[in-house]
Amino acid sequence: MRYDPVVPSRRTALVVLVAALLAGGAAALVARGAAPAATPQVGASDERRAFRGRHRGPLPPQAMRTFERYLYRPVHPDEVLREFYFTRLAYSGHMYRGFAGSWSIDYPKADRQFMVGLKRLLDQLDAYDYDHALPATDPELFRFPFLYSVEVGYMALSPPEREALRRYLLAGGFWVIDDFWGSWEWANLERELSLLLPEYPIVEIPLDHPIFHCFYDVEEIIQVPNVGQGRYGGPTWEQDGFTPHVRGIFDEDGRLMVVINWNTDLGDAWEWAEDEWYPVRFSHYAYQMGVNFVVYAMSH
Amino acid sequence: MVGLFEFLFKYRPSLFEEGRFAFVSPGWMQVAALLAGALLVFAAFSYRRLGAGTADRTAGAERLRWLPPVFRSLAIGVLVFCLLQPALVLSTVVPQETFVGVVVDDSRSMAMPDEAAAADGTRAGAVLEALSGESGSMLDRLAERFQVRLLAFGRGAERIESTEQLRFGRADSRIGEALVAASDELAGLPLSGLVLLSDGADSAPAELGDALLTLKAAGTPVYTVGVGRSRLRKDIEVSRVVAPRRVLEGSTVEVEVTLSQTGFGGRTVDLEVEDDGRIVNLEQVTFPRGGSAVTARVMFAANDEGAREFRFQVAGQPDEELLLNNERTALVEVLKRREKIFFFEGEPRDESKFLRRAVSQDENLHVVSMTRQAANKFYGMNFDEDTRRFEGFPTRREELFEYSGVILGSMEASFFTHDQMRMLVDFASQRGGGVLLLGGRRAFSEGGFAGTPLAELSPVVLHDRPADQGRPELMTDLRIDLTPQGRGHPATLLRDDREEANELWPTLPPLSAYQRATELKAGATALLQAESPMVRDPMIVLAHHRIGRGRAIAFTPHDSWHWQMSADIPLEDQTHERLWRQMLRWLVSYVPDRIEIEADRDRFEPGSTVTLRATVRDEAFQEVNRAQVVAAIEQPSGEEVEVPLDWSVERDGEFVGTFTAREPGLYRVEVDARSEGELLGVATSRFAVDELNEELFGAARRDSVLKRIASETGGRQVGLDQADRLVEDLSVSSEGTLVREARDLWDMPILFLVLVALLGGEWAVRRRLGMA
Repeated sequence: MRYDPVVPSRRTALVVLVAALLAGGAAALVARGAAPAATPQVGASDERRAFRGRHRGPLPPQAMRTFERYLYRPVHPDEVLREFYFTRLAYSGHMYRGFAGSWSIDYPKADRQFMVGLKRLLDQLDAYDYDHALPATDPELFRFPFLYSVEVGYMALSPPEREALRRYLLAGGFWVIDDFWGSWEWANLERELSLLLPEYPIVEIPLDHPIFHCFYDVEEIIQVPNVGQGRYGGPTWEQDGFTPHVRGIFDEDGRLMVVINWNTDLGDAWEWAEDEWYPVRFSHYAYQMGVNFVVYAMSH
Repeated sequence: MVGLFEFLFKYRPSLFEEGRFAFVSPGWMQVAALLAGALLVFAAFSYRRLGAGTADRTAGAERLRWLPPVFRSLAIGVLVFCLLQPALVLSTVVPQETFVGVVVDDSRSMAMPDEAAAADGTRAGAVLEALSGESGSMLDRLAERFQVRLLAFGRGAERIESTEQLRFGRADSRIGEALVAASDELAGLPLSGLVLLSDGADSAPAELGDALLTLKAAGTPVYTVGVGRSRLRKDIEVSRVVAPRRVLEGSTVEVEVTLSQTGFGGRTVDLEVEDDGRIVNLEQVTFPRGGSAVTARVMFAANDEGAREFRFQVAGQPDEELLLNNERTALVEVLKRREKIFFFEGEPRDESKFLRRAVSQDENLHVVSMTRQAANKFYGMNFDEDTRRFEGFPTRREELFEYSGVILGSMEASFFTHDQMRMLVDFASQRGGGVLLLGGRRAFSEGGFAGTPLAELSPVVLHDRPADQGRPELMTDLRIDLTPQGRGHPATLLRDDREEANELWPTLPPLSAYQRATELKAGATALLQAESPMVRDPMIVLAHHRIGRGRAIAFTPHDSWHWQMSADIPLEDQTHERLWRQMLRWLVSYVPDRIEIEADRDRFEPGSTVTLRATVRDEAFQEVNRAQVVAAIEQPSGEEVEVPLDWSVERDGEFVGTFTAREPGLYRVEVDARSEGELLGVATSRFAVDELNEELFGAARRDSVLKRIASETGGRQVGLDQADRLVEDLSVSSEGTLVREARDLWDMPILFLVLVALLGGEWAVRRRLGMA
């Protein structure tokens, strides 16, 4: 079934404009060398060089810059190979709220914490315990058929990224998109996907689809708020994203290539699942959805 | 040799075999004996007297003294023997009171131009000349002593009045049937024997033995007269085609074609495979210089559903003697049905996902999967109304045995009960299913298979692995290549062109494996192997072996999905899909059904008796003997005939019936098996009825057949120019109206030669002793 496009209201457009101006200002600060809001972590420079050395081909400058900034723990060459890696896509994007890249939101804690839960729930899964981020242009990406992205409202894929991602998805890759809100961000994603997979429509995934039942039976799509609104009991929506949707792109054989979680933030629910103030029903639901995504990805 | 014997002994050995030795004049016996005795005494006395008078002989000469009397005595003995008039007493036929049947091969193979004796050079011409030519024909010679009945044969034998009725155009030549028919035709008459004129090309499907036993029991000797050359000078023949009777639509059909030749050693010919007039494969075959036959393995895709007649032919060579034996056809039923495969996977992993995806578009494969996601939590996929649902691994034989193949993923042996493991082995060995063992961190030795029934399934040698060894080591960078046995194998043929397929393998992205499989079990065959810097010996990647009626295959890498999803593999590349489609089709090929029906061959001559054989088993694949089995045969005209099949008693679950197929065309057989009124199952099969020209294959004169017929029935094999001998042999036959005849032996040349030799010897010794 196709979704009904949501027409942004004037109020929303104003909010988006203001947000864009603020984001532009923040980006200008970053360009002048101001300290980023996110705290750099343990990634030593030699590790970064070693990691970069393992990647063939050119990386888009912006993606690589942000990728290096937030590179916490690259997979060591001596690391034992696993069956499953929760791979986060390091994509190029528009400047985002003073950060250099939107792909790294909630990274790496959300990823690691999700892996803790995932390994407990899918105890037969031979999964890598840590976060694992890769740029789309890295040929190694094809070794990891599961991909996760957030804040795609600010995604702006370069042509090489687009080409690599298209091949990745058509060859059998599975891409979960999460944590973006409202019609403005949707419009951005829609534009990106129309360039990426122009021949495949975005459709609403019905609740009787196996992705909602392959491990847990999910009977209802719940809006998962960000951590701030979740902890303080505020509204669950952001911007004009009042209704959560799970949409997808199917290939010609009926296989889901892309799952789009719009107007919801599963990543925050994984990341803050241990927080006593964060409502358990949200994290409970987010884990169920996450587990189902992984089971589906590894079986379809 | 026979000629020398005949020269020395006056008659051929066969007459000595038939006859009885006797002295014709017994009245002379006493006088002759007295005379012989007197002569012997005289000889001994005279030699003794002579010996006493010569004392100056040497010691050597002294040793020869006893020889002259012996020679003299023997010579006298020979003379006495002759005087006694030795004779060979034979039972010979009374002229014109016994019959001889002359059975002439009237088939097309007799038109072969390889008989130099004939004016037109053909076998038929030679037969006609020998039978009724101007110079002492065989029929005339026989007619002097016998009543001759002339018969022509193709499939059966029929009376003809003269050789002018011979046409040499019959499509069949069934020698055994013809001889029995001729014997029956002449039954009740005093028959001396049958004379068979043939090239020995027997196209009968059944063994000659039964017919020969009948003739032997009737006491009818058959004298065979061979025509044609025993070896063609220049000929190519498609001698044998071994093709599967049934394949899945879209499968690669593997057929063994044996080509024989004479005079074309070293030549390369094109072997064409045609499907309904369309060439589906062209294989170049080079004949060995030394040998005569070569077997080519031909592969082609069977894409069109239904009963397909594939024609295998070699184009006629310019100087070839016989072109009609350059092609053969094989009937292959291309089935459009879904073979059910059960995929049991012990952990979520991309290998199983991509494997299922590779075959998901294959309409002939239905892969039902059960994947363990968490302890005791399974995710079943692709169950439908045709497959009964269960959780985990089946516990009942009926649940497992409904599948044709089982894929066992990365699942440790300790998960299974002993009965489940035993059932999986029985699935292969008794049900005849295919089991594919995939590599993984919990498979093979790493999954603790060694020492369990699962080890029986593995074609590679397994080793005990202590549980405390932790995670098995992964061997990476495995560059995979074909073994010699893997070249051209239907499972590994990833491109239509065989050479291209062979060169493709080393260029594929390297894989990794947890299994250190380096040793094959006895009887197993490896098709793929890999070199790894971590292992000294080549690692076995793909191997298979037979388990009872079924087959087990091992594929040790755990990440073949990289051949689908790799930055180096183009999106449109179908290598991964093709590998797994072929592998799974191979896995379930030749897997028996519960109910099966087969004719004893796929092609018959019109009028042949077709034996239908059905096998009936229950859901657990136990043979059922108490069943009502009926075969409904749809004839080419559309008319349907029902043939009840009866339990053969020889084998459990086997039911047999016969049917005479007269109409040429394609027949369809549907068998319906019931037990106590309940339907056990239905199966179908097809066979074709057509002129087969079987006698044109192996068209050279078959002396072995002719010799066997003659020796087993008490007859003899003679040449076309030996009419006299034939008449003589027939005359002394023990069959027919007989009279005794004594033939003198005293004038045998051998006796004269012996006499001369003895007397000459005596003279020579006497000279040596100085007595002459």
